[in-house]
Amino acid sequence: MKTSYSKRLSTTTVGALVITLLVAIVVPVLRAADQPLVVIVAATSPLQDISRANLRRAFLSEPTGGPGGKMIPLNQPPGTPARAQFDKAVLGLAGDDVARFWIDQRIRGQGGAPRAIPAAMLTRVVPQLVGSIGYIRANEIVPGVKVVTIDGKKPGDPGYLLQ
Amino acid sequence: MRTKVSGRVCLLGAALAVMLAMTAGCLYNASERCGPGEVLDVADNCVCAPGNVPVYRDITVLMPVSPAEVRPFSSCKPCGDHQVKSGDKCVCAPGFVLGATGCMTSNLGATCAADAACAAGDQKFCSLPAGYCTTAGCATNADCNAEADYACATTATPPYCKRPPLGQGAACTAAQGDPACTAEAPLCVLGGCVAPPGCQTNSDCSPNRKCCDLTNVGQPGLTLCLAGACP
Amino acid sequence: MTSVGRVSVAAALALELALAAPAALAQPAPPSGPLAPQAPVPDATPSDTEAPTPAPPAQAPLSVVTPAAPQPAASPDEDAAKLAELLGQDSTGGAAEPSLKFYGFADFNALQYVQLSPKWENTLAEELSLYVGRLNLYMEGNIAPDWKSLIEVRYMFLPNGATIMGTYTDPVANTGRFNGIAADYTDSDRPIAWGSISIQRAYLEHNFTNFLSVRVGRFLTPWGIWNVDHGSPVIIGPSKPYIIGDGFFPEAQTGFDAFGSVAVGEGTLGYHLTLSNGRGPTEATRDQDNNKAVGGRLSLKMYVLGQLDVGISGYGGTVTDKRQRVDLVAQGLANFNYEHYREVSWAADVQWTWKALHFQTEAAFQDRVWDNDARPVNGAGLQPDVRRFGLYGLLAYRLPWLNLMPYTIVQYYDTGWRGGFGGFASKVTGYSFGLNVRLNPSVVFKIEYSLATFGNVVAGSPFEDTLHLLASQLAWAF
Repeated sequence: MKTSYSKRLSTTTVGALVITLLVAIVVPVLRAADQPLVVIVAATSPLQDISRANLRRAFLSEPTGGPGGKMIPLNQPPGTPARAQFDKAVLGLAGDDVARFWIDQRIRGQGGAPRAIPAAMLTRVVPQLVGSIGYIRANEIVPGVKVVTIDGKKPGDPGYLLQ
Repeated sequence: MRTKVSGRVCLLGAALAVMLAMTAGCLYNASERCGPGEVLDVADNCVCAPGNVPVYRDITVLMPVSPAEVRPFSSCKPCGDHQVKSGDKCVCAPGFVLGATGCMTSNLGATCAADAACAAGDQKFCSLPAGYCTTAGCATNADCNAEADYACATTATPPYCKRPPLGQGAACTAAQGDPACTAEAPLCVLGGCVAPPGCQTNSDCSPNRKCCDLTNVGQPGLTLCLAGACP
Repeated sequence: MTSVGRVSVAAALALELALAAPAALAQPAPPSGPLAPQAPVPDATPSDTEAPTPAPPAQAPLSVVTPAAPQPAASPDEDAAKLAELLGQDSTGGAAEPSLKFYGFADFNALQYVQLSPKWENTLAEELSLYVGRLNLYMEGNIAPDWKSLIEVRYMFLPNGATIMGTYTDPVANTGRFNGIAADYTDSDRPIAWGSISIQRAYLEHNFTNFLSVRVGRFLTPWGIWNVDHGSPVIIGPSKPYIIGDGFFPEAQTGFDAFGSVAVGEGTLGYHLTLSNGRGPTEATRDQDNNKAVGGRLSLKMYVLGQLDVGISGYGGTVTDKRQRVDLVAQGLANFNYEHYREVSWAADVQWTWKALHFQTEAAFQDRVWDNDARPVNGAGLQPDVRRFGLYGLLAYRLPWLNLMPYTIVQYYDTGWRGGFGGFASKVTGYSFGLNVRLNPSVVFKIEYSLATFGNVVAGSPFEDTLHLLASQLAWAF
């Protein structure tokens, strides 16, 4: 009797643990999109804060100026939630407007969108590429990158642009 | 940084202002859209004003592509004193001839007693004993003033441009003795004074007349110098 | 399973699902999560121009940052390759081979004059014509960091079929059209029509600083809005306004273009300064008067009630048509200026975009003054000095259904002389009503009805009658 109960308990516990473990892995993935976006530069960059206007200029491939010198903007791939959120908040473009805008820019001869690389690679490239600036989810910050405030606001502050 | 930005902005604005100031209003003049002596026609093209003729550009066109091709001109010049426009040239007005200093009054037919009286005009020879200024040295009628009906008297020495009979062609009514007719053209035929009959050929008449035999109109043996076609 | 087991499992599930439910319900899962291996992504410009998946709705702000999911192991080779690509280097750290991108646009058109009056019938065709209008190919090369090359070529069916003036004098011998038919040696000498190309742009660009970049080569004149928009998928209507089509500014120039911009508060102040051969019969290859043309533009982009762009542009230069003549005195050939004039152009433009509303307007004037001994023949006389003025205004609104954008254009153009319309009129006022439909980001359909009335008209000429035109276009970017 005691043996069969122990067996059932072990199986049940193991099952619960497995489920918990799986959910513990999956949930953060699903919850990533809840995280605000943060603008990152190399930890060694002198840039501490960036205005919304300069952030927009950087990702429109317009000159920016300011500490840190010329910026190399790095996008996330089109179609990703982070990219969509960033384009909407910073460039004021959503949905088809994004593609339409960059097609028009290209035909005008004014260049295309900044290069796009996945978030995971972005956090490894930004520390090494002088002047680069990108954006990731707040929970994707790794050593080597630094979060810059936007108009003096950090994630969680009222009115933060990329909440 | 703020100073740098302001400086750049000011520099750009200044450059643009200079450009504007240099060019605005100093190029186009609405009252002088064509060259001198030119006016706009109904199609807004520059053409020579009345009394002006084109001064053509020094462009040699050996083989025009079209017979209607317009030669370009660089400007227009007004015709001089006693000149009128004829096509694209200035010519002397009727009663004037081209002299060394422009168009001048002709002394053809003026009364004279000697060559000296004709020296100031374009006709240097005084035909005597008739006493009128004309030109000597002609070879054919073409060397004389056809408009004035002068003929070259080739048999004279020297040959000279002989005037038509005085009074020839004047309007008259009386067959004989009409006050408009003169001794040189005493007869009134077909309303005009004519020279006495007896011409043999056209060369016996002035260049603008023909020797007509009037036998066919009931005047057998009568020949007269008449203008136009013979009856 | 015992009741304890059931409870523990249920509790664990309930807790985690309670935390996950809002996110799970609010958005689709990302196409590839951090657990999946990340494939290297090439330069994403082409895919930037594809329609993205719908954006997620706004997220509820969180005060707690939950830990990120475990990242896949970094691949040093992968990172190095991507970094090298971004730096324009190869794997050894040396300069990489330049990357070359091809893209372009084209359009298909249907055009017909309608309600032609009897006086116009002998001059304009009333038949509906279908044609491929523009076929432009861009070749963009990112040669090195801060160096870029852009070449744009237009492929044309011209000159085959183009009207040749003045051949009506012998319509039996002359068709009145350019004969672009050749015997195709690959097809038993059967006839084949040949076309041509027009080089729209060919320049090298270097970026020195944020404030200064320089282009050398052939570039589109940076004036106004329409000329910069340039391509048929970008411009709103199928036809150019008169002041654009009639060349108040040269459409393109060969020379230098220095440009840049500087941040001014929230906005951007931009400039262009150009130096070129100017205009002339051989301006793309040779300057006939050694007098370079100078141009410039100042623009300001502001975010005021949407986006507001204002700009002013200027240009000045000389145009010379130098020819050879026979010099009978010198018994040889001599050069002379058949035509020589000075020109100055000024323009101002405003573009305002606020939500779905779009408004743009451009106004320009141009003076041309000829030397008196170098006026070309025109009609029965010579070319007079000219001041011309024109403007247009375009108002459009993008409806929320089917990407429909109705628009209207009003334009006015005073050519300054009747020769502007063959000697019969000097002014035109146009009204256009159209619809622009962006079927997808790369394809746009336009249909437009226009009417034009003329001013300062010679009595009895066709220009006394209004012209009506129906034009439609399907333009696409590729």
